[in-house]
Amino acid sequence: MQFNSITFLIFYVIFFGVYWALARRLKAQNVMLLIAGYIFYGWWDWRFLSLLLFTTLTSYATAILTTRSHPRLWTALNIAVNLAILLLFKYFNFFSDNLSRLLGAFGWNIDSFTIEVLLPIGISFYTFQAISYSVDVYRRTLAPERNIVTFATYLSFFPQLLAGPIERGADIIPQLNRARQWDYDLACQGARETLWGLFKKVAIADCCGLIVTRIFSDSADPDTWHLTVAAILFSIQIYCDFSGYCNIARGLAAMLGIRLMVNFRYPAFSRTPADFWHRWHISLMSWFRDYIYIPLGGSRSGKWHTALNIMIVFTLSGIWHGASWNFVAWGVAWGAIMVLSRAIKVKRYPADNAPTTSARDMLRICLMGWITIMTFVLFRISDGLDHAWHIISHTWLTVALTMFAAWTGITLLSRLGHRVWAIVTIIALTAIAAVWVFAGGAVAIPVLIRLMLPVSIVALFAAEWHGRRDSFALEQLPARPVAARMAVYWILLLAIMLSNPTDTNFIYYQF
Amino acid sequence: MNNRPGILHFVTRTLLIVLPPVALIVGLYLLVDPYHVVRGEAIESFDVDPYNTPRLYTNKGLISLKAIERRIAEGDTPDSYIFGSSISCYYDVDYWNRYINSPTTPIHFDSAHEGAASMLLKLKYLRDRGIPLRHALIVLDPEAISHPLSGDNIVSLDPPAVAGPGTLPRWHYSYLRTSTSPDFLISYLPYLCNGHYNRNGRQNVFEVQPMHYDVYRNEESIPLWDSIIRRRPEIFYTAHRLPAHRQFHCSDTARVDTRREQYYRAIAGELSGTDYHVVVSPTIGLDTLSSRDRRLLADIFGHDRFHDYSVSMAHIALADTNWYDRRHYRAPAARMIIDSIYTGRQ
Repeated sequence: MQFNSITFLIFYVIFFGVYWALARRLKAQNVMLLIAGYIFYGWWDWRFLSLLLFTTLTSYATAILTTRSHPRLWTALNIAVNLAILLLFKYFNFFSDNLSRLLGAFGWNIDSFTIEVLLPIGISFYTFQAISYSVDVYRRTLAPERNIVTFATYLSFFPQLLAGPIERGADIIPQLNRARQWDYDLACQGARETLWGLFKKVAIADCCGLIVTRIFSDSADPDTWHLTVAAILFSIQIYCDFSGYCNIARGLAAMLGIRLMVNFRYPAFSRTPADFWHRWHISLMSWFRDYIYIPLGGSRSGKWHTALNIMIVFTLSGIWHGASWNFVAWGVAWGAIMVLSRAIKVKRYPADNAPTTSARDMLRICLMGWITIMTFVLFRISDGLDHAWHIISHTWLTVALTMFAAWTGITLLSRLGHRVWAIVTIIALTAIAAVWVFAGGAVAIPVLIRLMLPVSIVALFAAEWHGRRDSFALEQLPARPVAARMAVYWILLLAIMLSNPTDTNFIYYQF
Repeated sequence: MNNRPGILHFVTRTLLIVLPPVALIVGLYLLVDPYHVVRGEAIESFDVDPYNTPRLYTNKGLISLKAIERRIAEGDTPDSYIFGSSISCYYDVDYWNRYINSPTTPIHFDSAHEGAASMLLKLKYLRDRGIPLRHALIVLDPEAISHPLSGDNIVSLDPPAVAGPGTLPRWHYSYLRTSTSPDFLISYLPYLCNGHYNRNGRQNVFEVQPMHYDVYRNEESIPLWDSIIRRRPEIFYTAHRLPAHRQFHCSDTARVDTRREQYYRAIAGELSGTDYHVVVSPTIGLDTLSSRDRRLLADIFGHDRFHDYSVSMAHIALADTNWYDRRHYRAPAARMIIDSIYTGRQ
């Protein structure tokens, strides 16, 4: 069941009531969480439950055995088992096909052996969570959890089970071992963050996705203008889809008294490549840093070794996202960008450093926007590397010009007073909406989307810019007058309810 | 410390925030009820003069059901039915009755985008209500066989009376979302005010065909288009272009998968004791069934009751005047098919 479905709403409301009715009974609450997690996961396909259970039992058992004898053996065994599951379900056919092609290039013709296998939803997330737990126990930074229910709940915690954040045992297990006290402020924050996440997913990501899909389905060879629109909107789609999911996950968990990590910290305002990776999918990149990059030597072993480590991490990150050369190319591209930025000593910002409205910061943000959009073309929008190159070669200039126009406009606007800024913004939005409404052109875009989407996108980035020092855009909303708060809530709710009634999965479910 | 007031306070406040926009949307739906599914006047909205009153793209399955219920209420329960998707719409029930000689006028029991599961539900509906089913004609084509098993949007969803009361929430939720979407309202509100509607790009909220509807037979016809096609076909087909190149697409792809096979076997079971025929009509693109599908369906329904005309009556596909559009053939083509079923003449 999807977060943005009536079924999930009914499920969560019932669960919320039962959960807090058991407020003073920790064990019963954890059992309820465990049952809810398995119901939630099994709703997609009950056959996937066996894999989740298997991962849970092996990780639980090997962690305890690690403390008794042969810690390295048991840890390695658990890692191997989890990676084997991941390789089998996600990468078997990819490797088989490519091995067959490689051997064929040397004259050894063998038939590739592929298997018909469903990709279990969320497998990449919970297996990485299990591996991190194993390694942390081995490193003695975390004591093995002896209560099987607690551990199983940690792996199957339903708000973050399908698409992260990839939580560490040290962050979640202690929370599961403490009685959750009702925290009104935390629950309100959670509700607000859930609403914000739904707005990003339903009102923006899904609408962007509709346009991108139609651009590629309406024409076998879209022109440069339409490709540019597709590239930009796809980047917005994937950001809003994934970060929206994480907002919802955090919000749902907060309403249950559990705090999840921030997985996105306004990556649209990144100023450098390193800054981007401190803001985008933070849980995955910190996982790769702690369990791959640092064990390989990190940045302590000379510049060439560091460059190699960076390439390895980003290539693996690309592969993690999917079994295709597009994802590998995406990872390699980002690795190369990171190596280059280190080599030319691009300024490094602390993770919590917020961008300013200076022209320089704005220019850096727009440049990073261009880089991100171009790399996202590799990610999924294209159908193979040739197609990706076709799109990039046709859009690199138009996207750059768009970013430059955005930089010029925002820099000029930031020099004006707030009221003038607001008036100009409203005029600009009206103009954008008018162009969209009357410029339906070759792509059939429902009027709803043509009217609402530009407004929603501008509102999104304006709100996130305003809240860029907070964990999510609406965190400081309680400080506003009641009327302003209610207006925001109702506008977001109406935007969610009036968005195109199509059922669309979260993109990162496939990982 | 007593936590309960905190939780209740939170729930109350959340409801107070969420309820007003939800009430607005639901109120709009109940008040406007453009598809007449709340107040149950669907058939009255469908049975209108097409030249003066635009007709919404509505759920034909619901209209079919209402038409049958009306006949039953009038004491004229039909015992002969034509099932199928919209490709069965232009089959003339009176012409069919020349062969089956039913004492009551046959009726259509069709749905948009009809699938096998949907068709089975209709048969079960008739059986559960003790409605006699003496004659049945099931109209398929290679494309219709590949339809989803049951409908998934407001035009093709099975009405709760057919699909079961458990589907009522989904039914109304689908109509609620559609009726309150701005894309719908942008077309519909001008129509409410002055009788004119916006086409709204490709969002076809209103039917484009000037269709006549015979509620007694639940039968559709387009006399205006028929007249133009008879007198000036070149004018009609300039405005309604058909595919130019037609050649056989002999398919090895199995359209009848395991689940469809199960549903077709269940349909055959429901039709036990009924004089029925299942026809696979030609498509304008000359799609054909695979030999595996042909054998399977003949085995399920019986060789004397299953008629695959996707190849043997391909001449229907080659004459433009047999078609309104790339999916729907006209009544003369349907009559040729009926003749072939009952006389063997092709």
